[in-house]
Amino acid sequence: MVKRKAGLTGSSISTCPVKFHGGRSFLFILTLSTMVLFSAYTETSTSVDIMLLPSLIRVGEKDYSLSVTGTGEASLKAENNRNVRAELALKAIILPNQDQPLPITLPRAFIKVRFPHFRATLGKTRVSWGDGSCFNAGDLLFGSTSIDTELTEQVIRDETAWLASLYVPMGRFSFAEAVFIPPDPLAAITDDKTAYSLPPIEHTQAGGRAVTKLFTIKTEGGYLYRGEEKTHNIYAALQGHLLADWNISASTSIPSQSPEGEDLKDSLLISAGLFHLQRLGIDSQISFRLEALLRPWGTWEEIKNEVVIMDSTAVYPPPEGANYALFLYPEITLGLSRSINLSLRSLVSPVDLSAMFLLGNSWNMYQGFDILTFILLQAGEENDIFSLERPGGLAFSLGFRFKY
Amino acid sequence: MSYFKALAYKIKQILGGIKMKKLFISIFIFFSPAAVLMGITPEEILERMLENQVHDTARIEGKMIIQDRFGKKTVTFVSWSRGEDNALIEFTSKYEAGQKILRNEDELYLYFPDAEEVIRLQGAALRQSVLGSDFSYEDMTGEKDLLDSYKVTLLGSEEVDGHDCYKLQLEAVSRNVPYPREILWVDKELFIYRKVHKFSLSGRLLKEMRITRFTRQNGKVIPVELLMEDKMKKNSSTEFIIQKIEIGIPIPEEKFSLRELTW
Repeated sequence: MVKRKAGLTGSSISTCPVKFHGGRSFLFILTLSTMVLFSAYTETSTSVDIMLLPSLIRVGEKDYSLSVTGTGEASLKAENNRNVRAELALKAIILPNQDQPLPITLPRAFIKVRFPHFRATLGKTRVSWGDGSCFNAGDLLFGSTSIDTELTEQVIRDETAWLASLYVPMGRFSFAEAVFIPPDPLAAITDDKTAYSLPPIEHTQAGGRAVTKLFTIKTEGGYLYRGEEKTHNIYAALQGHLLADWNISASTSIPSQSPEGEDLKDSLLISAGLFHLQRLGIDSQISFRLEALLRPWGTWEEIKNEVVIMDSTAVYPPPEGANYALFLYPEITLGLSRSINLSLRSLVSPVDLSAMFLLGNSWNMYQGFDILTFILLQAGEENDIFSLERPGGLAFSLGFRFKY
Repeated sequence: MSYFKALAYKIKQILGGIKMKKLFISIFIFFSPAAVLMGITPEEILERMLENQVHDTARIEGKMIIQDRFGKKTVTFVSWSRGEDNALIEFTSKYEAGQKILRNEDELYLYFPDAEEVIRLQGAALRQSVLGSDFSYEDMTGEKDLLDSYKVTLLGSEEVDGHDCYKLQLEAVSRNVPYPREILWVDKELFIYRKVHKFSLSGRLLKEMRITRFTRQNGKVIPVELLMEDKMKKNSSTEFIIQKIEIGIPIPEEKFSLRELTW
């Protein structure tokens, strides 16, 4: 299964791309045409969102590559039914390597129904648990705890999954939610398509959460059983305001077989964040965000992998950074005017003193049309998590985004 | 003093949900020498103007046309509100389709459908500009309590487009407002502002807002077309147009809930 995102910094997406060649490309175009024609005759709305980012990427000491990355997404939404909502979206990811087939994903395909006392959702969609823009220990479903993310996207975490959910309101600001995620049938298809077997039912994930407001603090807690890992997972999250908006989430897990107290400790994850927005004059504003992901019993010492020689070239494999005890995500966004935004996003690994910086500018010039500029820089030694020496350690992008 | 407190409490009991602040303003108006001389105080002018803008319940379909030197951007929306504290806005224009804002007292919940994510904001975020317009979340969701943030002075009377108006000056008493000084021309007959000038700290005119159309409903005069022009930039303005408004209609409290926000 291919896991990747187009863009400068990311390489992961949880959707399962179907590789399209000649005939299937025709099928894709046919599907899109049908969507557009269908929307013209029914109570639906279509939208298309295209982002193209020509990028100059550093791939070696004196080597640079010029390529185009980007995404194209077409979405069809049902409208004008008060109690039923549905959406079908197809997304194509344009990658720098022209030899690779165009990956097409299905990020959303769901039906949501509102009954008198509850709401049910079935299909491919997202359910957001916990709080946090980049790091969220409460996100048991999609795991917003990795550094493998796409900072150029407006929404940093938008992974989806095939799921069924039940939402029961319990007051204006309280609700309970049950989620059931069956094993992904596409995950069982091997890359060479020579073997196929339905995934075992034991790989199902199931759980639920409850959200309420205690005084002025949003309080959330939940449980998820991960069938494939055979683990029980729990989390708690709080969100409030004291000088700045703040949030904190914590999660831990324990195996369903032979559990030990140490497991709870070793898998403990804590994320915390602060956000503050300040007006600067009439049309300008600045916002500050700082998030941290902490594994108290993770690795606090730097890991140095040994150099691997490939074709007479020294390669420095990145360390198992996922186990590092601390990561930070600072973000500063400056709204210079009504339509121009500057942002500086960064992923920092304090354990090995390396970081990735993304300086971005978006200019909403016309309705739905943005001019995007990004400069990405990784700073660190060769075998740190972030390093200038890694392919893509330095990149410059200038592109367009248009939604219509 | 205790007599006045007891009297105020008694009157409050009689009048039901009327706020203490309004009550004291009314008492002040009654006993004020200025009120006796001029017949009305600046606070009462503001109160009567706000009565035309704040509704027990309202459902609005409208749009904002944001213009700059590159052209126009149109944002359409539907909103529901109850008093000053509860509002729900759903954006319907293609670029923002499905994005919603829920206002509950001093907190905002933003909903982004693609990420199925709810973000809760409090504090200064309420004064953030909505989608690059000249209006803040507070403006759109009903923060009309100008008397808390500004000291009001009556400067006199002037005509605006042939309409006799009270000229009011608002000076900020809090730093949490976008404009430190504003001058309002309030129609003496209709109690809607005909023109508003918004100034910088140095006294420079930054923006001018005018009501270009109003409608009458349920005994109220409701502004339905506003034009805010940026006086510092050429061809820069935001037009706020209410295409349909229903006031006093039944809107259940559940409309202003997370359930509705995420639907």
